[in-house]
Amino acid sequence: MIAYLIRRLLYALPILLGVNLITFALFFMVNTPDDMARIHLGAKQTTAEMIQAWKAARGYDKPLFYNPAADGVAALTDTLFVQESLKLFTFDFGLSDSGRDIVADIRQRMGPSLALAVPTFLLGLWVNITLALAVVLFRYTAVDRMALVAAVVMMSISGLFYIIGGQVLFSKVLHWVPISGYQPGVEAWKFLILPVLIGVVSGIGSGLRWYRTLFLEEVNKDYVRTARAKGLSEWRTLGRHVLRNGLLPILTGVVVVIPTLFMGSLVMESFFGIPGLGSYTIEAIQGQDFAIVKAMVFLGAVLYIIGLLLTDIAYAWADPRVRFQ
Amino acid sequence: MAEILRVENLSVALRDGTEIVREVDFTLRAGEVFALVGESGSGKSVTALALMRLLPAALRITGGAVHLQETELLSLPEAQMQRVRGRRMAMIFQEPMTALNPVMRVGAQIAEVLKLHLGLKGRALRQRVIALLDEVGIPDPHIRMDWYPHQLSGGQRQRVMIAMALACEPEVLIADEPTTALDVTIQAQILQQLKRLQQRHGMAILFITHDMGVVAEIADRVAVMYQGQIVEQADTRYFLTAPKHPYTQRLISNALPQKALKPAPKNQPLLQAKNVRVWFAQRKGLLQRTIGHTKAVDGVDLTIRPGETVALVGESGSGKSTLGMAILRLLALTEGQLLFDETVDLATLSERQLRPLAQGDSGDFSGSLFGAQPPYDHW
Repeated sequence: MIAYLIRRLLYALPILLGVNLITFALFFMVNTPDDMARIHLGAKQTTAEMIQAWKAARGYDKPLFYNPAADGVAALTDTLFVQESLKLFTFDFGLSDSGRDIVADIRQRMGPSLALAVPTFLLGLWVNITLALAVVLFRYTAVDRMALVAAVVMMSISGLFYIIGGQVLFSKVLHWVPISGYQPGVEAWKFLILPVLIGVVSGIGSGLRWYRTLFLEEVNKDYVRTARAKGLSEWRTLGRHVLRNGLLPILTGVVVVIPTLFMGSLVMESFFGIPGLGSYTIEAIQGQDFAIVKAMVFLGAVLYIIGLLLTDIAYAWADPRVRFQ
Repeated sequence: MAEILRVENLSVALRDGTEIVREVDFTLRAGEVFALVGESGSGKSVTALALMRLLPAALRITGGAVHLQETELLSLPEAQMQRVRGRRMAMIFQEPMTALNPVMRVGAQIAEVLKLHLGLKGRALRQRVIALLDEVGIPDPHIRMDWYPHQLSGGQRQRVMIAMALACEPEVLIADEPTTALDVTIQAQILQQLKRLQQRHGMAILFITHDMGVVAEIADRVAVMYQGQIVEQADTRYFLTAPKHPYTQRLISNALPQKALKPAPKNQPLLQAKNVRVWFAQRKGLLQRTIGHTKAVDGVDLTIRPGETVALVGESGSGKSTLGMAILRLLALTEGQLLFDETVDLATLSERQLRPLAQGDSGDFSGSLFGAQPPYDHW
């Protein structure tokens, strides 16, 4: 297992290199260093010298992938890509293009992100699994069919509708919670409860359908019949036997996102004005702050790879057939 | 002897009304093994599931009554039926490989019945689980109880199923082809075990099978099912020696060897496998170095002539299927020759060159190879 994990971590290096390559290529296909400098220096009188100095200070004066001015190997290494992307591997994110310490920003903003993402994730999982098991209990009946129709309807509605509809109903009309914003500490729940609920509700449609399918596949297996032959009630059979086995495929889809919870939700944080890492990334893209963009994309890729590793570990933990191989 | 279970006019039908089981009548007496025999599709398993009220959703009971001593089972509310299942009437199934929950330790699966029906807990529960595993012949039960089903062989898994079924000392045990999926050697052991346990606990066994050898070995009385109906019921010795119903006569004569063995043909071999080896590498460590080999097939010679049927016999795990797959080139050969028609070596052909042969364009691909377990008949 340990050897396997080390091997998987080594595979991660070329993947991360590839992610960086694509990030750099895409970003500079759309933006030029000159544009970035103008945006950051503001609309005031900006001279060619100021732009040159801004670029030189941040390393953007070098060519992207190939430097014809340098000799030998330096033609490949004395470039924006090599100079700026290798630092990421040591998690040295440096300063943002506007001069802020990126690591400090991340530390400060991950709190609100986690406060929103973790409850949404856990509550969503619990609600979806419970609903799916309840629907499977009534399988092939009218209850099952109605639940399925409702799930498809809920899936078909855009996530934005849930957000805007929820804000209008609970904030504008009922005045139960503030429409957006954030306050650290105990008071945070007021701002979080609506986005968490909306996140859970908007996920029910697809979650219920997916988990119902997984549980239905298990429910006709031989070992479930054995459980019934023992005299277990249907609900106990589902809860003790079907759930454990149905969880195995669920793990694959679920564990992988756990590390990325930390990255926050781009959409939710923007709509509810929560100062997390999701809105941090969106603002950086809008402000053409490449230092932040490359750091966040790199971090996302690392977390995703960790998620895949955790999935393997979780699988080995949950499935004795894998564990003993 | 006292009647334990009386089945009267039991009928089961599909939702569209097609009858699968028609007015089946039989009784089970204390301490006897009653065999329900018939070909697949004759309705024997459906009858058994109907007694437990565990029919799949597509089937329903359309009439009849099932009396377990004084209790009529078909009219019981589901909650009370749950107290019958596993406690007064238990069942073991055909497929030991899939009948146990793969993610639960076998001891815990047995303990579940004891907790549910007898309310056993803690030390007493553990002791009882160990005693049950010991009784069905699982070695080192205090260790194996913490194993998962996939760590046990098929025969051991079926023993675990039996332990689970016996846990609450049921009055009736329904065994639905419990040995069909097992090697013949294991089959005999399990049958003897069941017989011993039955004598010790004095329960009645409803034994479902299509194997006349098994009937001869274990049953006291036999009922034959054909197209959803019981066509004959008799004591086993009369049944085997003087069957009355034409279907029963056919069933029994089919179970006997049909014809004298004929000498093997002498013409040129169609397929000659020479010194076939299929080894699987065992890898280990960070660099996945090969540290040894699992020798699934190790130096086998085999000749098949046109029109001939060659039976490949051996226990499960002996390499029969691996050899078959290697001959079809579905597995890579480690070493060896596969001479087809005395000219082509299948082992050296590329995927593309194999294709016309696989489609049967070579004309005479009429030899065949059967994998089978030993021996076919044993009565």
